[in-house]
Amino acid sequence: MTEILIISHSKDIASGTKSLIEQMAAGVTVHASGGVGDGIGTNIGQIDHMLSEVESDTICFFDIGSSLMNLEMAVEMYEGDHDIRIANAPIVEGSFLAAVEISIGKNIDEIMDELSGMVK
Amino acid sequence: MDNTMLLQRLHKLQEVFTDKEAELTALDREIGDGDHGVNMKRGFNAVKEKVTEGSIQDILKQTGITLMSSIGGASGPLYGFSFVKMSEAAKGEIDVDNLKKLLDIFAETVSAKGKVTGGEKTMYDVISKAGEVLGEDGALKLEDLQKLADDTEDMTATKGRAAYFKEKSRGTVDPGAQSAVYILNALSLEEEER
Repeated sequence: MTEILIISHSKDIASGTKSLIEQMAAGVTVHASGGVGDGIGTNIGQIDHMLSEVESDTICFFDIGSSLMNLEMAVEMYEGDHDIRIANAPIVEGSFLAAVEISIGKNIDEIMDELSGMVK
Repeated sequence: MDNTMLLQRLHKLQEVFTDKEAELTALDREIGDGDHGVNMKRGFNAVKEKVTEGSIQDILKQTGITLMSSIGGASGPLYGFSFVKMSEAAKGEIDVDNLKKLLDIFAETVSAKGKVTGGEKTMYDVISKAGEVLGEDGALKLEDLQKLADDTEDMTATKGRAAYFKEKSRGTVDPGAQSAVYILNALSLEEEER
């Protein structure tokens, strides 16, 4: 089953979005990380770490500024076996839509297609 | 340039960025958030500490990964990822032709990942023109690189944090362009130490 990865500049946004999704679409695997240390930011290491834990194809969501750049680099350097996609959809609405679609059995291509209509 | 010389040069950047911390901080305080000096110093402290002997490819890749994980903001990942990409094209010993190729990759990577083109007052304005000031002997002279960075002084920032300063960004050399001068100078094939 497709998994979801969330990278945010804020730890609270990452964990808050994760709990929102998990409540609305139980059973969907969500990897979420945000902030650097106690502050605001993203770091490629935390994305690498999440990617090392995915066990299926994964759709990634990002928020502002350099999070996309870090995400793109981490995905380009990813050497695992799964298909890792980046969605340019709003982090909350996009990941929520993806989770619902995953829970009703849609595949990654269908979900990415849906998400492409939600560009931020 | 062989692996030993490359490692020495990259380790020496720790001293360079320690010396230049105040300069970069001052520039970044004008048109950014003032953390570029400390970021670059932190990055190359980590390089000095963690990057050890290996082939040219290993050294470039280790440097890239170290910079990506130790510098905040956009500059660390951009420099770091560029080193990773350069490692894939580096030969066992870097000659002038190989250095040209590496400079192309450096510029392409920064352009693709930073979503920049020329004239936007960024590190790209120095990196993308480094090939033009590269001597036939492979020298990347500090004074030539500095001229490229100085050219960013009259530019208006449209990318990165400096873009928020718009017209006010004019009159200050871009901090990323300035740090690129030191990094590129470390890749110079000139034998003598400056």
